[in-house]
Amino acid sequence: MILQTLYQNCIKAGVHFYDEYHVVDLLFEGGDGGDGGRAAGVVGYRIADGELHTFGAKAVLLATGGNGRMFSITSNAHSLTGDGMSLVYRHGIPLEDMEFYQFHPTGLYGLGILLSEAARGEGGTLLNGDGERFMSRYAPKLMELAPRDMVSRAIYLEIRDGRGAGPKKDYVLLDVRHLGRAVIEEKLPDITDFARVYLGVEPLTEPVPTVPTAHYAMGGIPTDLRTRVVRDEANTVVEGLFSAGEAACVSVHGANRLGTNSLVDLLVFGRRAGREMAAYCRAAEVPSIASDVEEPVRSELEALRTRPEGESPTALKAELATLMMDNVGVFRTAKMMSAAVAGVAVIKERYARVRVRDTGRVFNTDLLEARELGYLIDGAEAMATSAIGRTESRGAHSRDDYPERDDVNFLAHTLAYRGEAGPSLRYKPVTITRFEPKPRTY
Amino acid sequence: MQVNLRILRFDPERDAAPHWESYRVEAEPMDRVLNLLTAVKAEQDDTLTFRRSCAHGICGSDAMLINGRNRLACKIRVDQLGKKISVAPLTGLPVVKDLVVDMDTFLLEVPRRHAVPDR
Repeated sequence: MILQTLYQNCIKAGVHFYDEYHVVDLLFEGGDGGDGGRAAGVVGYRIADGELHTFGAKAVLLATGGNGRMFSITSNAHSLTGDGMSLVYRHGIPLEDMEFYQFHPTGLYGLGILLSEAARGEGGTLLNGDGERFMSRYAPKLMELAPRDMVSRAIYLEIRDGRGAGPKKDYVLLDVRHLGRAVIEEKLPDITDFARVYLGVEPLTEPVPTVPTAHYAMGGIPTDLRTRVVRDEANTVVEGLFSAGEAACVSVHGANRLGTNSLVDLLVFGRRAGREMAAYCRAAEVPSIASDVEEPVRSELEALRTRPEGESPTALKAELATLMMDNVGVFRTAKMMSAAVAGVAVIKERYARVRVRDTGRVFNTDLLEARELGYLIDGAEAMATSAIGRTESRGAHSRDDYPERDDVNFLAHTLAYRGEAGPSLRYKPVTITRFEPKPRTY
Repeated sequence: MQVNLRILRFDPERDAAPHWESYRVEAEPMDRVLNLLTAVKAEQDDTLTFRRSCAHGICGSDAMLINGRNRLACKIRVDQLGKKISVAPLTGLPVVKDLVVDMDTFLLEVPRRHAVPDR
């Protein structure tokens, strides 16, 4: 609904859409993004013919979404590979709070397709392999309507401890049978459709196999409240660069996002970004761009396209997704996170040698997907390093070696900077105004 | 189970005209055609080109002509089609490469057909 309305109003206002021009680099004038430079435009790769196009611009907004494709079970579309996050990271701007990633408790088993919280909102229950409503042991008052991270962890622990359902005991069951046909058909039509079409399960008469699914990045490109990208603890503004939506980290969600609050990212900060950019453009000078700004990314893409031998990026991507799902997922331990940091470093090194087999210039999705894998690896290294660096549990980041919150040392936002030897971490204090942090008890 | 998948291929940089190619794919009954195409691309021919995004019936990216009808590849299952599956690009639009069609005419129609009324 929002998408259609926005698109049609854009068309009416005369906005020009460069469809299927894939952003592959950011341009800065007067220094790199992390070095005091101002945004000067982007480089786009035209998918139809493989040509690069330079777009000079006074202001650039990154609304490139999340990076759920870093995980093997995700609700995210294939296109969500964290492109904007990776590009700022490559230009010296840190990524904020990358360790805080939301796993939605009810994804379709094996696929990750999202079964909306509405199912639980209408009274649906979660059962383990023993037919027990296990949430009574984790959140006795709120039960299935406890925050998403708590429910996801509960599901993870039930499965880990041998109480999963199904032949491999590797899922739990979302039961809506007791809600009756009228409620199911009218209020939960999507969920019903998904269960029937993708699993062949009839929710009217059978409970639906579900598992936690990688869903939303609370972290991302750091911005201030005016959607301007900032690059350090002092919130130094990168002139002309803006971000909004899931790609950005204002932060409005902190360590955990409530259901539906992604709309804040879109409606409030999307709109605010537009207004800020318009005001900025009225006063700003047109940036000057050198004629060879495309060369760095052209070389990178050509190297990918013409390398004669090497590993398949598809297989490497699957390895990354399994590594991240298993080790930087719902439930974390020091050992798992260390394995992820080391594993991502090895994958990054192998990525430098991947080979793309489609060498054409027209609509080369093989090349594009290989490029996107590079973006996923950047996001993964920032996430794994940020996670192991935060020695406490807070919101979506939960680790068994530090199960309590540590407000003395970690009431702070993580800033992960790209580095030759791996990301380096700095911290920025949280702004506390009206709401004091309190223990989470349900 | 083994599925016989026929795909209408076309590489504008190499081919004079589209041509049918056959692939044998190991598949589960609940697999969707998108899963089969992804498997062919990963295991048999990386040049196989198709659009896909949400992979669960919402975005429309993977609309194709499957066993004679325009459908979404991510929704139609093997058990609904049988062991012989043919996949061709969506009818009515020029073919760019393999299963990718040129969407420009479609996108130009949007302002004409869905004009937002003035308040």
